[in-house]
Amino acid sequence: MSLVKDYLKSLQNKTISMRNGLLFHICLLMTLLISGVLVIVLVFGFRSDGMSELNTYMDNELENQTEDILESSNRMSLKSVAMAELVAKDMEEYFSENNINYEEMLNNPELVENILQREITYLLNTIDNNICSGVFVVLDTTVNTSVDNWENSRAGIFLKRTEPNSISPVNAKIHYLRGPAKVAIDNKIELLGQWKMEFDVTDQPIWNDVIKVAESNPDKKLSKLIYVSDRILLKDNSESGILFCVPLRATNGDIYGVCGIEMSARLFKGDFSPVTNTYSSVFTVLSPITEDRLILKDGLVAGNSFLTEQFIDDYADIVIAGEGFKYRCREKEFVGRHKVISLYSEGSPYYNQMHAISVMMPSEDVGNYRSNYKKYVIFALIILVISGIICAIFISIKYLSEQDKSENVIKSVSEVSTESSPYKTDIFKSFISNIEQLSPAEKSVFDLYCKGHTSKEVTEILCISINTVKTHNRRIFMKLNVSNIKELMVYINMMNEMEGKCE
Amino acid sequence: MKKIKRGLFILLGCLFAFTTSCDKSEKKEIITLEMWHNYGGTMQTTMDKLIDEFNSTVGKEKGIVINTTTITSSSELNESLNMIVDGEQGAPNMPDICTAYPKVAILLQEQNLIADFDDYLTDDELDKYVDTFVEEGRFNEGLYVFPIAKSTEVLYVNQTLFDKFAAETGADISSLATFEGIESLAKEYNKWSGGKAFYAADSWFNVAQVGMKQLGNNIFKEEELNLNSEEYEYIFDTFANAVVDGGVVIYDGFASDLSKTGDVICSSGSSAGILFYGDTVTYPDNTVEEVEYNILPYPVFEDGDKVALQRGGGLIIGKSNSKKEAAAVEFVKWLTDTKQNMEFISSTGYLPVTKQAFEVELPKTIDTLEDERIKKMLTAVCDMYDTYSFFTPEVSNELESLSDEYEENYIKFMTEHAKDESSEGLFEEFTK
Repeated sequence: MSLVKDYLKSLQNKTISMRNGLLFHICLLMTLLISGVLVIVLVFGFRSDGMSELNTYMDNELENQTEDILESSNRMSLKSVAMAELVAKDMEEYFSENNINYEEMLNNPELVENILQREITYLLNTIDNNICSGVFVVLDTTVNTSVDNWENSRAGIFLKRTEPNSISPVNAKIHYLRGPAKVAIDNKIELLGQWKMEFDVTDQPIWNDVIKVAESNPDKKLSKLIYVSDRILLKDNSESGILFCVPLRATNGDIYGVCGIEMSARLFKGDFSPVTNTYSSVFTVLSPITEDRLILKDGLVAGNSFLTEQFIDDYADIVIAGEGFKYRCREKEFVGRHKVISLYSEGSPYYNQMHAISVMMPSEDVGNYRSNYKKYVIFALIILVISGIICAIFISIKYLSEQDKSENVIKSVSEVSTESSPYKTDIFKSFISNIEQLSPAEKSVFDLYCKGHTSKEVTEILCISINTVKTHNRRIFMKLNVSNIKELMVYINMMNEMEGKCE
Repeated sequence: MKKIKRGLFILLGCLFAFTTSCDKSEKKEIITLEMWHNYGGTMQTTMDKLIDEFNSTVGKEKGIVINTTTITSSSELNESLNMIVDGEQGAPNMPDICTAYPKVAILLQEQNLIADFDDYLTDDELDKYVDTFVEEGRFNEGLYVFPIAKSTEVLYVNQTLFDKFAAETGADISSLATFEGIESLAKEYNKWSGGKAFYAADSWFNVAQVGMKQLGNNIFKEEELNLNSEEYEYIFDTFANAVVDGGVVIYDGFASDLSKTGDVICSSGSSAGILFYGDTVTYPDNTVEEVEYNILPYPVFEDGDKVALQRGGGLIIGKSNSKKEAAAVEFVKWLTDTKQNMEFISSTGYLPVTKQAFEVELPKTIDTLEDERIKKMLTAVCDMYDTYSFFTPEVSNELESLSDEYEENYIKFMTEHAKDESSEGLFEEFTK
């Protein structure tokens, strides 16, 4: 440790000539600038234009979103199955206790109301304890066959959570979209503006299809019979979503209806919008997929900008263009990724229906991000240039001040020489003693300067080139510790005043 | 040295010019604003459409994206905002734009959680809006709630069912101009229908509050409920009689729920609730009857002044950085501009907030509206603005608690005594 200290002390005491100091600082500046360029190259890549970062982001986002969506979808499937088992069991018990057949629900509003009054407990329990936008039970019956279109009317209940993304699901208020009004009033649930007593399934045969499939697969487990609908806007509703439907199957195989959970477009948007501050137009899609198309109109879309029902209508299906992760819909192009998934387990009658999870963004926006990327590189380079300029200013100021200092010395020496005995000063003494260090060639040049010759005359007298004179000059300046010819001549004049001491 | 300095200045100037020109050539930074609002149900479609329009036009041009993350009832929004105020565990983050009433906005402002519109709007810009609507959002020396659409309270009458009742009993619809007339018809209807209720109110506190104003008193006195007054006793007795007789129903929810099933045929509530009434009545056997609603001015107590409540919250802007706040104000200005404001009110039944829309466009537009319900609503409300005086309830946390407490106690008390044989002594019991 003491050795290092001694070394540092010796360095401090060591006098470095101005020339060496300047050289050292310029080298240091150059090193800094080159290092800065290297850092920029390492950070932004040798020939990167932002695409590799976008690709990495897309890959990661697709992986994360796929994991999250599948986890959410599996959870909703399991909860739907659990609710279906409880509701079917409870209905079966009710029918058994009262010795009635489930078909007696037809045209029996009182019986249907009693049953739904019991089953709403399971629905409330499911909606309160799960992240979902709604729960429903649809019975394969209607309370009145004398009304118009009764064939397409189904009794049941649909509970909606109007704030599905609330982080406090316990406090989130439940609303009543479908079902007998008395059941809602008794349970203090407000009716939605779009409330209707029964479901109108005209042109929306989802539940009928689920019942038919369940009837034709009596041996399959309920978990194999779960069906995930395409995105659907129920009649007289204002919000679309996908429905996880499970048949209500009694132990004797009777199918009472369907129940399940809704994942609304808003819930999907809230939960699966890509998290990014950079790529604001990127979006996630869960949609059915055919051989070459993503069917957006039947899927759910989540993103932060310009992603509304209108967007989905405009780009109802997107062609998978293949190369370069490109997608196309009419004149609009997208860049992104997709992953084919199955929402059904092996053995499900719906196993062949494939879905895809995609992460993409409009191609036109990619150009903007690349421009932004270039902007960052330019910005970094500008910062580097400005730093270089600041360093240069620092060095210039340092060495210009040295020059000023030497000029001041000259002045002071001149003044001293006129006011008092010049050769008594330390600087002058040092100058005189240093003359002995000059080589013979340098001495001959120095002598000619003492005789009042100019550099040009020196070249002629000694028959040497001007460059050689300049070289001698530099060495003379260094050895006599002067900065330039002007300073040298001041000392020479002083020497001449000392009556021939020069010789 | 001077030359060096001059050179450096020139070089720095060139670099600055270069970077500035780079910025200009790039696309603007996109600011995404999270929005919560309470325009659900059928109003949601209109609001969604407007937000889409903003995002794809002005928003796209200025780099602003409105992202709606919550659509729910105003009471639930209030709950969430109160959670934010109280800093409860699990409280959501304050949104950038939210619909809110002044009562919760005051609490948010006290915590410095919302921005002051005065910082972003000039006097000339504010002058375009109806003064009283703007003033409602002013407190603590700032404008914190910006008007988007206003409403008042009206009387909804199921004209189809009323006509059946009137045809047999000779009931006169003009009786519905007063609360005493409603009480009288309610008793008659109850007998005629075999025990059905005639009238319900969305808010019994509002009935008492407006009633007191009509009778020349105030429901609050020195920050306390002013229930021991002649006027309040009169209001209480008017409805207590009808409740005990069965013609008026006390329901802890919106009266429109009862109207949809024909359980009442007359109710008072917000003019903005028109779309919740629908145009049908569904009976328990799922038979659906098409009905027509009539909108009448808010009833007045006999010998009272024609006074009604001015309702409707506005938009608040969450405190963030000046860029985000300015972007949010940009959206609010666009949304409340006459064209957009008229589009919104034409499909929701609210009142517009700009002077141009309220005084010039609205009278011209009413006749052209396609939705008969909204046409009737706006006609009734415009008539009310010509003949009624309106008041905006005083806003404070304490008064808010008192009004909630009153509503809860009143509903509980009257529900318990609905089956009493007489209303005698109920006032003394309720106010003791």
